[in-house]
Amino acid sequence: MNKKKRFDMGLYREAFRQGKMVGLTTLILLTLESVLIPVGNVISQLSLEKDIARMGETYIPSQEIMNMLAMHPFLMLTFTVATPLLMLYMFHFLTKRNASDYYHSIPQTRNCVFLSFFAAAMSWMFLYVLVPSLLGAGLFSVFSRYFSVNWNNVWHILLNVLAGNMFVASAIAIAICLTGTVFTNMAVSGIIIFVPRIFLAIVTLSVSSWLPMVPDESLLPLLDAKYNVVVGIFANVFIGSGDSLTALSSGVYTLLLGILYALFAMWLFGRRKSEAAGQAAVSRRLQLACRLIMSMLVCLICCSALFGYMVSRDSIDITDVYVLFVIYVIAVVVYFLYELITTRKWRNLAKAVPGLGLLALLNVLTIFGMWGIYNVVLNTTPEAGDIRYVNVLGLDEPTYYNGRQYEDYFAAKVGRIDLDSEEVKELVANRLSEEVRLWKEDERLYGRSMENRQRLMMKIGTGTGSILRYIYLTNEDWEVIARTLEEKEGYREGYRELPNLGVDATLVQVSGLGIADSEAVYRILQEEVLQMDFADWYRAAEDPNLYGDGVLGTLTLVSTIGSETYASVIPITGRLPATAKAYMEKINQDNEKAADEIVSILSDWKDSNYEELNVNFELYGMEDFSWQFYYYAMEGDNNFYEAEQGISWEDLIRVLQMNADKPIDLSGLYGRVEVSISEREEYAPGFGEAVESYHVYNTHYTYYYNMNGLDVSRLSEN
Amino acid sequence: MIQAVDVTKKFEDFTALDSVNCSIPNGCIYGMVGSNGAGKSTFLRLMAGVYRADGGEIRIDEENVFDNEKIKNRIAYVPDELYFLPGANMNRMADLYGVAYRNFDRKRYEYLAESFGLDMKKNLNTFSKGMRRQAATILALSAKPDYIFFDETFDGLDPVMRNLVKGLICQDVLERKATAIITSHSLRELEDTCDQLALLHKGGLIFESDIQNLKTSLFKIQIAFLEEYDRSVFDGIEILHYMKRGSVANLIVRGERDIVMAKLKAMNPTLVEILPLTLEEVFTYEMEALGYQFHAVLEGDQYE
Repeated sequence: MNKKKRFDMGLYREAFRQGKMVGLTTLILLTLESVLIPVGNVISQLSLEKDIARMGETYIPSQEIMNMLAMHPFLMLTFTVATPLLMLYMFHFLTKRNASDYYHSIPQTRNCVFLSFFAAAMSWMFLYVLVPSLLGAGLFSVFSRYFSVNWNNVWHILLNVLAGNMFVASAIAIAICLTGTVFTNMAVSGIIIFVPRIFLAIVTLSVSSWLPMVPDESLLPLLDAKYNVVVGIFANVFIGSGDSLTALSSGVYTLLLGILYALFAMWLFGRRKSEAAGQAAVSRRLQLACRLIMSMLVCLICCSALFGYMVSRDSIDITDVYVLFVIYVIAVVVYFLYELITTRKWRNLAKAVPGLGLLALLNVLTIFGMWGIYNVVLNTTPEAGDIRYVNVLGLDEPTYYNGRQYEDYFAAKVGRIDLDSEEVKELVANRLSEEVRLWKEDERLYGRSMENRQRLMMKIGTGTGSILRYIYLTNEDWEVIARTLEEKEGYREGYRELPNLGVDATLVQVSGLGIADSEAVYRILQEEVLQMDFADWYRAAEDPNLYGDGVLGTLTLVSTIGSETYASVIPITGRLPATAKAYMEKINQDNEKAADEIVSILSDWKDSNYEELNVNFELYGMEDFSWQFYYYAMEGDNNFYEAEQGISWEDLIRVLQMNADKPIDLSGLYGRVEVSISEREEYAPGFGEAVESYHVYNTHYTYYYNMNGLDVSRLSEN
Repeated sequence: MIQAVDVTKKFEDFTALDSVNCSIPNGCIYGMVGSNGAGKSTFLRLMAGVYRADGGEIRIDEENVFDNEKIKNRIAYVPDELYFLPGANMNRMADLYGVAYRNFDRKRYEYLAESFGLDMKKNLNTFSKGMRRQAATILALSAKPDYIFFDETFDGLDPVMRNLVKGLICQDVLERKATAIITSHSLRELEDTCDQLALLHKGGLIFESDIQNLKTSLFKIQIAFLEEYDRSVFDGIEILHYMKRGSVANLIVRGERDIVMAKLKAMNPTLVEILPLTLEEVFTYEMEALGYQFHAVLEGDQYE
């Protein structure tokens, strides 16, 4: 029995050598980038230090925390550009008849050829992902005076990027085995990588858009775009689906998928005919499948629209019919165009006509499939007796930090705690049934009924599994939930124990403050939370009515639980007095001169040369509301324009002058004053200019003042 | 031994080979000829393990060739459309061959390259068509294969190089008991080199035979009679081609020479003479018998 070799070291080395052009070029370019960036950063820091020293002051740098993508922004080009190029280049022999015949004539088995070449491509990939990344991170680490490398983030990102590269390489390998020209290699690669997700995303979004009580990700949880590193990044750009680049689950999922795809590609390669080289697809059936997929992508728009008409039962007007007709025409054009471009034979268009019947059938199946999913999900409303537990997962609003979207930290920390009281089960079951009933009756009635309620995402566990639903709560319902949560030990601990800075990659960012000040404010918050009554802290952190008015600033907390990163935004309000005071004092410290400047500007504006003067004044300390006032003046007009009645201009200046040096008293009135002035600076005409010119520049001041003594008697609630 | 048993190969709706059977003994030089599109290259690719047969199988030493590492290591295949790595020179290709073929002999490669006068460091893209074919032949022979398959071997080679290549093939066959299969349209070259010849047409094997036997079983007869005659007088004799000018007729006849001559002499002709046929003439007349001829194109302006 002839024992077949699965891998040939010599052939691997040969393949590695063949990949040198793309692999080595990528390695050099990325290494260059990974060296130039830290060097550039260090030069900036040194230059700044030198400038400050020249002014006679000592520069105390605050360490900037460096994440992988900040150190190596071109890393994502590996799986978007480099690896696709590498794979297409190394397997190009499958697109030319003579080359394909050659590689099928050599003694090594087909599996051996595939594995050796694929391993060689992966070797290059490992090199150009890891070497520049670790070199760059290492260089930043050397300059620890200015930079602190977040190694946790580095390893996560590298794992996910490697997984993403593996996935892309495997998907392209499948495409290369199924097609025989460069164009179809690329087209089918795109289909394999993106189309399943696009299809599922469109179906999911279409169905869930008609199910307001169902979160998008709950329809097909494991197939959510965010679990795929590559697709998730694109999805995040277009539909904000969450960060797939740092989540370990995404990396593991993508890696497993990549391995599965690679095994499938190897199987396909073993069955591929050499004579397929140069042809659009290895078989007519596959060519048909590609045509159908391409045109279905367009048809999905119509399917989604038609499904919407089925659900809403609205009549379709003639304009809509026409639009749908045009889109279907485009889909048919795409169908034939794909055939023409890939085979370059007009006579094939006639042969492709019968496939349109299949396209029509696919449309019908998709529409009715969506209808089926819709009905099943809508009618899943467990009774109170069927509910085993409820998890409160929070407001389900994403938190953004540094341009990335994260799931809520507190929801992740305490969301797994099961609430099993009868009161909560009854409440949840009733609310869900009510929502479904109202929705079925009349979506407008549903909208009106939910208007004044607050939405919480909940996981409802039953005997057969669990479902995710949005439950719209009245204020009374909110109290029931809050009361039940308070009684749970694990819930209280999860909320009270804020993570320490530097542990579990915990970072904080406070609006308007730098890193050091943000961290100082956070430490005060940590202490304050431990002293507070739990209910007060819970409401301070989670009460949805807080956003908007009464918020001085926000504290964004980013931390990891396990290997996943989460974030939460904590509003800084009077409910956290120590934190609020520390926050305002930090703002004022950074704007020391503003206190007197503002008073001076507002007092003397009539005698000034300001082009424009804008004043925003926000008053706090009156229950949970803040009051906002806006004043405006411009040159030549000595009147102040007040946007709201209530606080007179003269009274405002009087209190500012009186309290400029007083500390803020959170038990009384306090406020933020923001002043913006535009001044004109004239200069002599330049060469070739006939008249004098001028330049307008703006200056801004912000300061928090003690506002006790302000006459608020004319204020009235809206 | 190479055995093809009911080998069929299709490309979508087109049947390139249809139940082809043949046996090629070891240590011979086997020539394959046929019309354009007959299936010669397809057959070679099947034997080289490039293609998988849709029906039947090809066995070498009782083992199926397809995806068989052990057998394919003993095969070197030089196709009609050559392949070289982009931007490669001969040395680079020798590295690739050295990796692919266990028995690749670097010294033999260098010797042959020098003998052919080829620059091993020069980019193969700068080589002429003939030089590229020389390079491919050198690389194949340096793998010391037991089975060498050449498709359109002599295409592009000058007469001196053709002789050199023929000599090397014969040398390998004699010294190492290699088996060579050569396809070519140059029947003159095959006549000099091959022991056996096979004729393919439209995917089928028309005949395979020893070269000498082929030339003796088919022959030209020139005959003349005093009285008037036509083709019917020769009934009972297998005639592939008949042409009469005046009283002299030229016949291409298949059969036993002695028997045919005896029959003809019994007719008391004024002239009867056997003339030998070249392989090219054998090919032409055999194909004519199969309907593969284009006299009508040459006889008139059909398109007007």
